[in-house]
Amino acid sequence: MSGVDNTAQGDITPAVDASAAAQVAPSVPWWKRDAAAPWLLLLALVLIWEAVCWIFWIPKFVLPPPSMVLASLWEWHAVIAGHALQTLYTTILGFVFAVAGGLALGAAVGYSRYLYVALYPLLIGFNSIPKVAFVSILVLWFGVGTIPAVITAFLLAFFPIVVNVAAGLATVEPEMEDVLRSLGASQRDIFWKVGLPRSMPYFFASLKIAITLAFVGSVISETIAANSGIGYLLINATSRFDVPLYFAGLVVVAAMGVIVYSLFASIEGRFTGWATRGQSVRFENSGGGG
Amino acid sequence: MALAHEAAHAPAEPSTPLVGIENVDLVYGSATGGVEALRGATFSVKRGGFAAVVGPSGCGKSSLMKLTTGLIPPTRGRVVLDGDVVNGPVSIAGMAFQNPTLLPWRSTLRNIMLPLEVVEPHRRQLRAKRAEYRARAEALLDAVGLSGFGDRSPWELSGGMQQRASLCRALIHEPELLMLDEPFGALDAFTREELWAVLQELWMKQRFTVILVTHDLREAVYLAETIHIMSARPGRIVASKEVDLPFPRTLEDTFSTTFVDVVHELRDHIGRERQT
Repeated sequence: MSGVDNTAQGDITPAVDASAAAQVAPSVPWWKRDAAAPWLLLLALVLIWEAVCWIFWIPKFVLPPPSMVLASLWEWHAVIAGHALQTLYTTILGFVFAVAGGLALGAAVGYSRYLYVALYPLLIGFNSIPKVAFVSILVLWFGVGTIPAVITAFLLAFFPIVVNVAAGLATVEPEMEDVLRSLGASQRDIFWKVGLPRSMPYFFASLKIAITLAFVGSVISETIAANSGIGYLLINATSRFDVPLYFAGLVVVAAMGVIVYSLFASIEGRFTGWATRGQSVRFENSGGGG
Repeated sequence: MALAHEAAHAPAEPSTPLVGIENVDLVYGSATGGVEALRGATFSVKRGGFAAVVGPSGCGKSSLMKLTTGLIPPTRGRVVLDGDVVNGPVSIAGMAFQNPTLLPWRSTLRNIMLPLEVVEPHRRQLRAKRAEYRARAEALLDAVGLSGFGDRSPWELSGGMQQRASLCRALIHEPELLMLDEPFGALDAFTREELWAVLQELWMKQRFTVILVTHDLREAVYLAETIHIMSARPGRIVASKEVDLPFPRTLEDTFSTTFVDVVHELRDHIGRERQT
């Protein structure tokens, strides 16, 4: 079968270099490893914070030192855990709706130019409104509690998903489209076979932004109108001038954000390894998410 | 699939041309302030023929590709393919571009099989005949010297290998017409010449009709039976040249006087077109 005439026989050696990422130097000191880096930075910042509080005699109702925050976290851990679970619940629920809605709307906007032109100004306008302004209305409609928090989380989280999915769909190479169209492919074929898989890296990137925004949404709503959740805890702590507890609440939100974020980062590597050409996936696997 | 080197050179019987570009004008953008890409372009390609289109850059060569495959309509004139006037995307064509445009999330083999998921009747039969289609794709990979690379991702392949895969994808549904838009333009000279031989062998074996758009005159003379020379924008065909060299052509032939003379003649033509 490979009977090309002899003059042109010399096969090109494949430029495949799979071993590139495997050649990690064997003896990296532990503190230089990827896994250690975020913890070291955190430790350094905490130590500086602690030192500043003691050196300048900052009153604890202005800025409590981390040791005091930690103590408060321990003292109130049962109460905090309850509120944290409530916030996590509303956040995840809002986030799930945002993913479904954002993916659908992003796909629609990326699919149809007409919809894109029609919807984009509206979307931008809507997203420019501070979501705090919505909470009061939501409370008026749905009462105090879980529902306004879920909706606020949804409202904040869905915009980056829409924009990213639409961007992924809109940047399909025209030549790829030509190849498929010249085969008689419908716009639907192109959407399913090229557009959607292509926008997956954009989608996953947006999820990481969206989940952090969902936390912001939940907590904002809880600070305005709720009987539970970290936001409620924050308001409660302020009214009692318990600033260490206030900071403990903030630390818990941040920690939950980081945990959920790294969960998505690890899923992302599995689904969109092709986009990073396999390289950073290997980095993440060897380095571990901090 | 035995090779028939001698038989392939026998002239094809003069039947109706597969492709007919008839007095085609093409204006991009609005009718008043648009860019005129083609003006009165006319040429035809016989069934099983190998035509090359050369010309100065920006002369509307790529527009010809899109017109022929029905991706864009002509402003005036008509495009006839297989006896019918083209009025929408045709499905008897395969296309390959300078950019291999492989989908990075699919393996090379699944990239090559993509047209089978789109073109009828393969689309309907894909589920039932998957093994057969897979074997066909692997045979094509073998023919272009990529056997064993089907399971690799496209980005693990070199540029030349990606272009071979792209060629396989253009041919998997056994199209009657193969449209090539500077397919080897981004490759180094050695790889390019190697792929000329690969393409020529595939063409001689399967005798699909080829339209090759290129700015490489040696490439055109090496591969094509007929070379159409386009003018500067707005493009039209200013001359057509038959290449009287027997097939299969080898790299040795590219140093023969006949070959060099044809290249010179083409160069003169294009040089004149660039000045006007």
